[in-house]
Amino acid sequence: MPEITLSQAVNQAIAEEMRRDETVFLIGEDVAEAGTPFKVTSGLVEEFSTERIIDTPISEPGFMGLAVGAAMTGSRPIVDLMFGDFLFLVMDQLCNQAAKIHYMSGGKLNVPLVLRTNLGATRRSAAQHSQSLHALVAHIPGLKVAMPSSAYEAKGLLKTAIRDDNPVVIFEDKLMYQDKAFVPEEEYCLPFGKAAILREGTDVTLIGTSSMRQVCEKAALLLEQDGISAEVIDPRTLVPLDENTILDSVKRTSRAIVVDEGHQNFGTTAEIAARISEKAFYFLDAPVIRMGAMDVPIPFSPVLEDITVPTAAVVAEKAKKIVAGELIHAL
Amino acid sequence: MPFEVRMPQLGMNQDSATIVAWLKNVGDKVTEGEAIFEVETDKATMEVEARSEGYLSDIQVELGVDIPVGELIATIVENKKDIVKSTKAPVLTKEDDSKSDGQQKDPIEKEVVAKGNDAPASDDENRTESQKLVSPRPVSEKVLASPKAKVIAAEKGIRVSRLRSLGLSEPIHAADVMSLSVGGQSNLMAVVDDGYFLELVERSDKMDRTEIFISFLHGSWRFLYPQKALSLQIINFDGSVSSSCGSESRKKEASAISISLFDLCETNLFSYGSGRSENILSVSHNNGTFILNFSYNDTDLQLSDATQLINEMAERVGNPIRQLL
Amino acid sequence: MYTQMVKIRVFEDNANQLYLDAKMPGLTHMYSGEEAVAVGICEALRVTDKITSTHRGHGHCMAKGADFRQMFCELLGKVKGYCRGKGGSMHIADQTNGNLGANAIVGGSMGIATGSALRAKLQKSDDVTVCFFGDGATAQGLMYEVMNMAALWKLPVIYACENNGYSEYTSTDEIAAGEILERARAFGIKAFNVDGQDVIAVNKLASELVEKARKGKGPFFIELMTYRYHGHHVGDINRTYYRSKEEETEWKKNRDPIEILGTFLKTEGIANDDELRELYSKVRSEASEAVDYAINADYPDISEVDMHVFQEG
Repeated sequence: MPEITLSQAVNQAIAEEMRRDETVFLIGEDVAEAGTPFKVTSGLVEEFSTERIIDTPISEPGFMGLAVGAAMTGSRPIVDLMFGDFLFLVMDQLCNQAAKIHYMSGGKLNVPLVLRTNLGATRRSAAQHSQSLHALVAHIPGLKVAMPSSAYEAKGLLKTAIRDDNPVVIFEDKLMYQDKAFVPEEEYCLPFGKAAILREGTDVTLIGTSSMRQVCEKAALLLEQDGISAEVIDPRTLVPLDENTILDSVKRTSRAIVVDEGHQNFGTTAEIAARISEKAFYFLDAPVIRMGAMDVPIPFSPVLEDITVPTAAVVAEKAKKIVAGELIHAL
Repeated sequence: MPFEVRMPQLGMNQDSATIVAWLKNVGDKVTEGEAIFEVETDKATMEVEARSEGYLSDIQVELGVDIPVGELIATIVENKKDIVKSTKAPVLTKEDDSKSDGQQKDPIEKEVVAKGNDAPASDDENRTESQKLVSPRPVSEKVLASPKAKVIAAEKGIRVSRLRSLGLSEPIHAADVMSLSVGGQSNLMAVVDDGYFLELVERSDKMDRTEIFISFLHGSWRFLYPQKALSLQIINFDGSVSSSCGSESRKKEASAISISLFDLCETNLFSYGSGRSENILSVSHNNGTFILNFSYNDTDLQLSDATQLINEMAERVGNPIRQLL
Repeated sequence: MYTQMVKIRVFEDNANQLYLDAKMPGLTHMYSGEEAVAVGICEALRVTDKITSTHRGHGHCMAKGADFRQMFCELLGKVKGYCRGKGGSMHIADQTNGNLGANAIVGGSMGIATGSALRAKLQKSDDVTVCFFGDGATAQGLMYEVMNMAALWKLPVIYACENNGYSEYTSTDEIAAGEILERARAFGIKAFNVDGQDVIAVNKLASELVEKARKGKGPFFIELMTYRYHGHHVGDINRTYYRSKEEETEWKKNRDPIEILGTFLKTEGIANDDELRELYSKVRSEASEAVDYAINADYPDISEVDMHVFQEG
């Protein structure tokens, strides 16, 4: 099994799907010769030409809208949105159009498009290039949301996304593009709505999305040194969410910490924590803990930026407290 | 120099409180640690104690008015001649006095409050110079236990309200409850001749039969365990429970052993055990005898305690004269 | 074309009545007065050609070949409506005839229409997409983003701006600086102005442009000067603060698209008054039958509420 980077995995997924299905095309800013700022799509234009690897003007709502129209009439566009922060620019086309067209047409029109974008802070990119906005789109019925946390997942989930008949927003962690993982040589797709249990444990369940999966895994190693056994779960997709795997785990461990790089207020962590509290309440032996990005615009200065995002040490510390049965936020 | 009594900061998100009662009059001598007034916030009612000795003076606020934290309420002066009279405080009745004297604080409760309150009295000198915070009153019935701990407790037949009295420290988690060796229910029965007792009931114009049973049970307990608190209830035929009027059981204490009396003498029923971990003494009457049936929980009472208690009780029912003597 | 225009007018008269009688839920916008635009253009299109429509979309839907019954059903939220009652007046569309939907976001469909044209080009399909929008939508930035790309990539799309003189409750003069056509021309898009009340003129221009676009010579931009007889929506009754009664009467009396075509047909000896009257009353009875059908039709089962959020499978 070869070891490849997340960036290569995405590139392979796009190429494989474009070979398999000629209605698939890639559209976005600097996706052709430039291969995006992260060099994710490098080389694709050589194989598929500018006919199917389409460079656009800097018109995010425009090319997002084009993708919706093309998807409705028989194409399967992959939209490359250079930074997750630009989601705010395409919100009308994504949320008012793509997300609702199937429903508003009584099921008669489909919008099979993929919006590829990214998330993640600590690249010293400041407040407008560092956001993790997946909760925003996960809130809108009609959009599926995938959150790969490794090269293996990035490839398998993207291929599934491209084949899905619905609009899918897939968030890649921009810090992970160069991270390597073993990826099967043979073709594979990863199903949506199926979480991965990355590590089994008995004392606490750590649920980590995307960039926070590694944080949870490292926290689990730290906890192991203290004799605490942590289970680590990566939901892989937020919509649909594999509630059962999460609930089953929490029912066994009785404790849960949800870690996600989106802002904590009204965020992904809140949604997952609420579902646990609602549906596994009588199994809980400690409050369900949310750990998201601090509720501040992401600062530029490294000393500030680094404390806005949960780290393995902070997650482990919190886990120790709830396993020890310390009183948390009582009264 | 007089000590200032100011409205204390009683919680993190609280910026005012209301005085609901003065426990001392202007001019009364107060000692350090003595409760002087009761305040009510949106969360609880609490007593505030004096932090210095002297005479209560110059009450500046009225009852029932919302007062900002830190506001001057009264002063405590060292000499009687410095007392400033006030029209704002009501004069206390005797009953109010005895109520404040009768206050007893359970050490466990105090500990819980200290842990649970986000911000106990502030260190700010101005604010808390002459007072300190004491525990909330009435006692919070809420036991801090996790949902899972509560489920396990229920499975073991332990009422959540008893988790505290079983010696667990809060917050209580699943493992704490699992560590309890909760025994099952045990049964003791005594059969006693009814003659003397019926005579006593007939002669008594102050108490009825049930009340005499309660009084005997209480007396037996006092005789055997003078230091241990007992809480007595009466189970009524409609299933409701009324607390008895036993003098020391008026105030429910968390660590008290609880016993319920079920008087079945008017019925054909013989005994009752609830299946929950409760201590129930049912009394029935049949063929010239009283049958005392005691269903008790092993974690509450040792076999030796239970046998002594029921034996003593049976002695008293069988020979009430001895009791009267 | 005459029949199609009459059908739209009659449909709107019925819809207006249903709304005023409180038989129709929601909000609706009447196309009456603008019939020549939709009909003139759609008659130049094939079934496989696409259109995108607007909140004032009943006319486009009808002109692209929709059926009275399913349209009234949709208006009343019935399961037999084109969108199973989930779209209503503002999202009504007969998808099988290439209608990609009526859009309740002003200018919201410009991306969709241009995307449809991009797909046609990528898949070497010769269909053309017409994007209908009002003068109000020319204030949306999306339009300029997509016209830029359409011009860059020579996409088979025709932007049809129905200039009815009012952007909701405001005169277009007050919201649009310069000439609308010049905006398109700035991207190198050929742009034309046509009398939107003259269906023959509209159809002639549209036919030429559609055929050119089909051959890869698009995109094009047409500004069609027209007028909406009703307010912005049914219920917009007191309109004198933004336009005069005299102006409305003038358009209705002297600029009515159906009258103009009727006069032409009579002058040319193609039809006489009786024939036209008969045609009118035939359409009326069809419409009235369809209204009854829709009123008696079933609402969707409530189990359909979470159906079609996602395409399953």
